[in-house]
Amino acid sequence: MAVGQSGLVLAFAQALTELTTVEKKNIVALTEIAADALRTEPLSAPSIATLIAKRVVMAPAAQKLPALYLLDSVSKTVGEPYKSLFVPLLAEAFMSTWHAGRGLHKALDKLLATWANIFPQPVLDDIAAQLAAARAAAAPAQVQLPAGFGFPAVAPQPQLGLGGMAAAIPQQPAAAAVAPYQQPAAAVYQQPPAQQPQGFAGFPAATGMQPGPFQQPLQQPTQQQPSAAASQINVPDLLSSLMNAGLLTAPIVPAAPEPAAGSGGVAAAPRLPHGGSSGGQPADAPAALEQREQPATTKFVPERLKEPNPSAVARLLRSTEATKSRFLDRKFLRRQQKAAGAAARASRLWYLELDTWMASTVGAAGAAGAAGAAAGTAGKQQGAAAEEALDPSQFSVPVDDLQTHCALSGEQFEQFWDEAHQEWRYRGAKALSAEEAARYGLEPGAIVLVTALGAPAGGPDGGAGVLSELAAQREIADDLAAAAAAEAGAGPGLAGGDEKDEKDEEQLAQALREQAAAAAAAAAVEAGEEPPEKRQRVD
Amino acid sequence: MAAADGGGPQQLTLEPQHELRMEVDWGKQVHLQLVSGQAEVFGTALDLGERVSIGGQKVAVFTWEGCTLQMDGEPDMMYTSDETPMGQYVSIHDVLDARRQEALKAKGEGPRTFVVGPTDVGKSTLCKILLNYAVRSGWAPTFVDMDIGQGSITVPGCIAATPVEAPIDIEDGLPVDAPLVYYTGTPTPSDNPALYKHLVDRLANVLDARAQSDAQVRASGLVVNSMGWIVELGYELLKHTVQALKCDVVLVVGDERLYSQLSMELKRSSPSTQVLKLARSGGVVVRSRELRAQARKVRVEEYFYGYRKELSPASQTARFDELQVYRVGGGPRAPTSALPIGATSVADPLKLSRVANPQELLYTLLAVSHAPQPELLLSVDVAGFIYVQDVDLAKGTITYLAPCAGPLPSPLLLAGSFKTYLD
Repeated sequence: MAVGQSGLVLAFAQALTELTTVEKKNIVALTEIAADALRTEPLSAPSIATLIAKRVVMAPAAQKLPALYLLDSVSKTVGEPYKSLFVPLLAEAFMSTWHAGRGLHKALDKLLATWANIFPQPVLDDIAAQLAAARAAAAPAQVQLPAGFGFPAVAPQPQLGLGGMAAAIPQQPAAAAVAPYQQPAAAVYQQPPAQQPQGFAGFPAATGMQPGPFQQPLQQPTQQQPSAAASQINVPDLLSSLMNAGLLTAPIVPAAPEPAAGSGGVAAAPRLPHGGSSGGQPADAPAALEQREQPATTKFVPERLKEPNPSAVARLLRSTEATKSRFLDRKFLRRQQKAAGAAARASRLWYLELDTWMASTVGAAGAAGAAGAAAGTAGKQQGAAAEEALDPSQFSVPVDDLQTHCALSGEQFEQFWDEAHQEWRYRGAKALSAEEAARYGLEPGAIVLVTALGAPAGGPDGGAGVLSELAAQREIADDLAAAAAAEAGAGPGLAGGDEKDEKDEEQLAQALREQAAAAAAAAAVEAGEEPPEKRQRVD
Repeated sequence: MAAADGGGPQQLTLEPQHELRMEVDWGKQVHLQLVSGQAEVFGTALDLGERVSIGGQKVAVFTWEGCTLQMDGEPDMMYTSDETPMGQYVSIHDVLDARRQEALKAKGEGPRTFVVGPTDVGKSTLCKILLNYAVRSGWAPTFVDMDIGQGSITVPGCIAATPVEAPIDIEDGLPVDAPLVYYTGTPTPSDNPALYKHLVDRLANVLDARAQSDAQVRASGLVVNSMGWIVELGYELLKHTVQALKCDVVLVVGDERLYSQLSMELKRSSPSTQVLKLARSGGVVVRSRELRAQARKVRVEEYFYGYRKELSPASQTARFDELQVYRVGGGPRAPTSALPIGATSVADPLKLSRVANPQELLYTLLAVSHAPQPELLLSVDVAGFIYVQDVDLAKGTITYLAPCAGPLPSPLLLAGSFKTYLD
């Protein structure tokens, strides 16, 4: 990697190496980054284009297709200048993917067919010629899929993806369906291509080796119709969503015995091994097929904690694969900031106030966002009227010498003599019940001004998580910049002992602000379809 | 990319369910890259091709299915082991995960897991792993750190909480930008157990309120780390935390006695709480008392300067009489029962007194409070910390290190009782 590249390019390169599956989200995310780069760093376009094309060429066989799909996606959705920049490397990238595995050919043919109006004809002709030569050379017929082709045996989902894709290749459906089972038992947690209610229930024999039973119970659209868009890049996505929706069964897990804690699951297998029965299992591959994944239980069984629990591992790895893309752009962003941070030194900001913190830390896990954190404090006043239409004059509590100020707003209470009660009371105040107090994060009995009681920050619809937090940070950065500017104007001011001169400070604030802005923009992308205006309206 | 400290890249292969443990001293860097297979560092999955730098850290790379790693640089210590508690951890995660799903369906509370045990048994590592596994399964659990001696969210002497929404960064550790922090001012809770309890209650209230406002947050639950003090008063405080935070799963790491004590007592006081026993991890390194003091200093430095010295704090001078510095404790305490009913919260028995002599603040950490007035100092979260570098009695000024430039968010400060000597 060239020295002196911008942080963006370096981060992009890193992100590319992590593009290991053809998951649509990842490709879309990287495409957007490439598109953004044209705006923010137009000069980096050639580097990015070269990176993508080179990645296709250099990547391990199993990771070429994702990179090539990215190249395709950038060419089609972003277009120039990337398209032209790809041209010199296109043939090499395409052919290198072609040679990476027979199973890719179908997908590549389709891809090439869509390039007719995208890339110049001479390049396409060149590829066609090379293809013809390669086809002629590849004389030997029907070779089995290379083990682990397409996706390394990392996690269940890619394997499923393989199943899905391979099954759709008409020439070799049988081979493809069987392939996962013939791999060595060391590659644990292979997924069966489909639901198998009857096939596996405890036959140590070679049932599993017959391709037959694997094909009829397929409940999976892509697999039932071999011609269905096999090369669509969201196959693993689809599979995972089917799996989550319960349409596909959980995978079968070979080898170790199950703790079978709540054994009443789908698989009432005849011999669910309970503690220490591992010796009773033949250790070869077909035996592995006996085991079904155990359903998760909500009960702890302390004695079983120490036993191996392949079902739990399989579930964890499966969901890891499913959530991975969610963290990809976050990771990218952080790395970019890290790269940028080395140049412009940032400072730790002050921690948020409670209301802001509350508002900005709920709804983060994908729930619809409400008002930004910055709006949280402002919203408190409006909210006061909204929730219960409290009339301050209706409320008063006896004077409490230990609580002289509103526990929420900090305003001092106004005392008055109440004839009816024959005592001094606080005007417009109330003591919170336990439930109310919990809502505001106070303790029961705390006295507050009724006017300060609004909808607690971040109601049921929550805050926009990262977004709002970043908005708050940006605000702080702005304040900082203003303060620094004011200081620069006033000459050596109050904060006299500062080690750095004002200019530094201003730059720093500027950098911070930019950082926050970039982050907010990226977070907005992450938040997806919902525009910020809508969020505001919800509030 | 920075060059490695000598030694060419080498390929390492890990068998399934094995762990590669390595220690890299401060100031050195080792780069790790996942070439093939699956691997994770304290529950944070490595992506294929991802390159991470390790420096001044002890890490363990674990693989469920086997993997190949490429390593650049020379760790000070490195070995592989197949005796890991990961199997137990994943089983625990699996149950917690099922409970979260159930909670989400029933719109109820997710599991609140409390990790307890003596010092140096791998409590924080277990917390990290459980948090990461939860995040990888699509949840956003909240990490609560009750370890006021050696907290991992902010400076020592605090209890704090932070939501964890993405896998914990291998290089940077827990997300520390937006925690909710309460300051006790001391790394040893025995100095003021009432204050400790008060703040735990306070934090518990806030977390309850937060859980009520969001179903996903509620179902995701808490992972709570504790301090390593497990006898006498320490034990009482643990029990108090279980009750205050309504923990329903207590994981006791590496201490049989504590396990039997807690499981017996909690069976009576909170029968719904389940207590489980876990062995200490073999990878844990025991730290000496000096090392712990050193680690505290490092935590303070990290707050101001960042983990890789990437942050710039600002040194500023202010007139002492413009600041209002308070200290907790010292006054005679009235028992809660002696107070009129309803008069709690702000009216707690913890006496605050204003610090008149700035000299005693030298080399201590002051918490900058979000409290609107002094009475609320002990009930309101803090905005951050300043470190008193110098006191000039003649001029009546103090010079302090603040995390960032500009005026303090509030002149209300809470003094701490321990001194740290930053260079």
